[in-house]
Amino acid sequence: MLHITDLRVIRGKFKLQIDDLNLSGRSILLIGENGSGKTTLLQSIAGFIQSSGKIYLEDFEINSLPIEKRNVCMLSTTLNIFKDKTVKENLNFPKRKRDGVYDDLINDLGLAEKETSKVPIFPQVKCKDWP
Amino acid sequence: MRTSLAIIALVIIFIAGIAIGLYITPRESKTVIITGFAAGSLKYAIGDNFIPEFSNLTGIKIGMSFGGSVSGARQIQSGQPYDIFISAAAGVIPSLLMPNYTDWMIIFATNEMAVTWINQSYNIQPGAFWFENISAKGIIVAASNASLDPSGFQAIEMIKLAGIYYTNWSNPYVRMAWHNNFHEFMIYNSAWNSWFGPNGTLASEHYGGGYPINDSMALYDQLFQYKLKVGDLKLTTVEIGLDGYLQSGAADYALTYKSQAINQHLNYFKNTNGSNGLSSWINLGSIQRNQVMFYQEVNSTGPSIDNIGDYPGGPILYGATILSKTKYLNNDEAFIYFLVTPLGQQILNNSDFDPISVPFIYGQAPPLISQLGQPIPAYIPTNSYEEI
Amino acid sequence: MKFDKLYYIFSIFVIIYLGIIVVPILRTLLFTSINGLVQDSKSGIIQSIELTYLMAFIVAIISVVFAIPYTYFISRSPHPFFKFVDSIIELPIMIPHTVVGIIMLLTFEPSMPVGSLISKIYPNYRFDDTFFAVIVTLFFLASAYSIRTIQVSYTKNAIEYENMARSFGYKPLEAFMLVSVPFMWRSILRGMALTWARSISEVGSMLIVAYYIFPSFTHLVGIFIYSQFIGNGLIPAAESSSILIITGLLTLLILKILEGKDASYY
Repeated sequence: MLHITDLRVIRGKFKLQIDDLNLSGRSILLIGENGSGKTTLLQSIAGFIQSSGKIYLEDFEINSLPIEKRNVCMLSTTLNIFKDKTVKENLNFPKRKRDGVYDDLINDLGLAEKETSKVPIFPQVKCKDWP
Repeated sequence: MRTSLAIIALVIIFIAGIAIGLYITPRESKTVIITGFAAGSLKYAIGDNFIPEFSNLTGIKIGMSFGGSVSGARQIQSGQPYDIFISAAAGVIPSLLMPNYTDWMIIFATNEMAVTWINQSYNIQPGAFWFENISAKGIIVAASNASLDPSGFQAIEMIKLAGIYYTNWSNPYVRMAWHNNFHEFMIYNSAWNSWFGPNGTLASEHYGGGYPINDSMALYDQLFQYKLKVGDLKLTTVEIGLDGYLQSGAADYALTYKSQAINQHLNYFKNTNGSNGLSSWINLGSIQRNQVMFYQEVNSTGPSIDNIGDYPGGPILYGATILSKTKYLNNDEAFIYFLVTPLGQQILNNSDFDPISVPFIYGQAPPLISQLGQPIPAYIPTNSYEEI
Repeated sequence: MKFDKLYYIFSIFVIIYLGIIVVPILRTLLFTSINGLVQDSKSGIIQSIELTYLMAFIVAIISVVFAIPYTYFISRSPHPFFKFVDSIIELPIMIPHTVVGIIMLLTFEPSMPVGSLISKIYPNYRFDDTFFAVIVTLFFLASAYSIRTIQVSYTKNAIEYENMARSFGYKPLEAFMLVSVPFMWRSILRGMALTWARSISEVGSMLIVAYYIFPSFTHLVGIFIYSQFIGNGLIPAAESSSILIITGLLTLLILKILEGKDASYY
C-alpha cells in the first residue's frame, strides 16, 4: 500500500504535483504521455530525486529515508542490467533477497548454462513474473 | 539557445581582439628586424632602455631574448639564427662560439658582484662586517649554479678573494687594497677571526666555524661547504625569480651582480657614498691592473655539484659579437656601435654597469667596430675572456 | 575491410598530426648513436630518471586519490557555484611554469602563510629543494589531467546506476565501489598516465622550487637534461633525451596494454 500526499517535484521547468494518491495491489500499471511525470514519480518514491511531501509505504513514512533504507527497488527501462557483470552476479546483486531465490530464477530463466557469462553476449533476456 | 549565444559571444570577442590588436600594432614598414641574445643581467639596461632609444634613433628594430649566457650560446650551437650575441662572461664567446659562429668580440663593460637582499630586516649597514651577516647561523644564501650561469663561479671567486682581503696582510695587493692602513685592516681582521676562528662566534653556536686563525678560505668553506651541507646555501638559477626567492624567504641574501639589484628591485650592500660595499679589489668589477692581478690569486673551483673547473679569477667582462651568418651586418654594426659609444655607455652606467671607456677588441672585428677599441691589455688573464 | 570516404579524408589529418609528433622524436633518437647512449647512461641520467619516475608516480596516485571523490562530488552538485569551481581546476595549467614556482615559494616557504602554519606542526619544516616541494608543485600542475579524464568517464548514467544499486540495499560507498569504480579503472589508469607524463616533463617550476633535491643533490630529469645542455652542449643532452624517450615509451606501452580493450558501458 503506497500513500502519497502533497508531493512536489521540480526538475528544471517541469513541476510534478500530487496532492493525494493511494496505490494498492500486487501490480500497478502507470500510464501517461511522454513528459507527464511517470519516471519522475517513480524516482521520487525510490528516493533518486529530491521531493517534498509525504510518502508512506505500508504506513511507514519513507520520504526522509536514504535510498537504501526505503525498501523500494527501481529499474529503469534502459539501465536495468549491469553489463560488466555476469548473469550470476546480476541475479545475485540485490543485497536483500530471500534464500534460494537465485536458484529459482536461474532455472526459471533457463540460464543455468550461461551463469558465468557476461550479460552483453545475450541478444535478450527472458522476463518472467515471479512471486 | 544558450550555447548559440555563447558561441556568438566568443566569436565577437575573438574578432574584436584581433581588430584591437591590429589597431594598436604599429604598421609594418620595410624595417628589418634583427635578432639577438643577451645575458639576463642586461634585461633592464639593454632591453628596457638602450633598445628603445636605439630603435628611435635609427629605425632599426631588434628582437632581443634574455637569459643565461651559456644557455644562449648553446642555443646558437643548436641552430638558433641570432644576429647578435652579448654575454655576461666574455669567455663564453671564444670557448663556445669561435670559430664556427664568429671570430671576434668586443669587451665593452664590466659588472660587480654584490650582496643583495629584499627584506629590510636583513639590511647590512655601510661599513658593517658583511661576511658575518651572510655566514650567520640560519641565514640562507642564494647564488647561481656555476654550470648554469657565470655569476655562479664569480660568486665563488669573490668569496675567496674576500678571504685573502681580510686575512693576508703579507700579500702586497692586500696592503695596496687597504692603502697600507694596517689599523683599519686589523679592525676587519679581528672581526673575521672572532667570527670564524677556533673559539669564534660560529663555533660557539655550533654552526660550522672553528677555522684556523687568518684562514682565507673560512668564508668560502662556511658558505660552500658547511651551509651547502646543511641546506642553507641555495645554488640555483638566479636569472629568474631571484626576487621571488628573496621575497618568499627561500633565501635571505643573494650573491649576484650589482646590476641585478636594479633589474630585480633588490637592495645591496653599499658604502656611505652609495658605491658597492664590496671593495673593487674583491668584487671582480675592475680592469685596473693591480686589481686584475689580485683576482688571479683565487680560482673558480667550487663544490662538486657547483664546479665549472679550475680557472684563475678574473674580472666580470661583458662581451658582444655579431654572428657570422647574419644577413644584416650593417644594422648589427650600428647596434654594437651605439652600444659601446656614449649613448650605450651612459645607459649602462645609469644601470649600475661599468662601461669600459675604450672597449677591448678580441679577434678580427669589422673596421667600424675595431676603430672604436683597443687590444686587450696583457695583464688581463686570458681565461677571463677565453674560457668559461 | 571497406571504409567510407570520410575515413580516408580524416586519415590525411592523422598522418599530418602523427608526423608533427613523431618526426622530432625520431630525429632526437637518430641524432645519437648507440655508443653515445651507452656512454651517457653513466652520466647520472638513469638515477635521475628513476627518481623522476617515482616522484611522478606518487603525484599520479595522489591525483587519482583526489580525482575520484572530486568527480563524485561535482557530479552531484548542480549549483552554478560548483560549475564555477570546476572551471578553476584548469587554471594551474595556463600559468607560466616559472610563475608557478614563485607562487609555490610565496605560499609554502616557512616564512609564508601556509608554510608558517606547517612550521608550527613540524618545527624543522623547510620547503624548497625537498620532496614535498616537488610533490606539491607537480600536483598543482598535473592533477587536472587526472580529474578531467576520470570525470569524462563518470557520466550521469553512472549516478543512476548507483541509485539503482542503492535501491537494492547498498550504501552509497558500496554502490560506488561495486558499480562505478569497476568501470572507471580504465580512465583512472589513463588519468594516472597523463599526470605521470606531465609531471616528468616539468622544468620551469622545478628550476625555482627544487633545482636539486636536498640532501642527495639529485636533479629531476628535466633539470638534469637542461643542465647537461647548458654545461656540456647539445649532444649529451640529446643522448639523455633519447634515453628518457625510450624508457618513457616502454612505460606508456605497458600502461596501454594494461588498459586492455575499451568497453563502453554507459
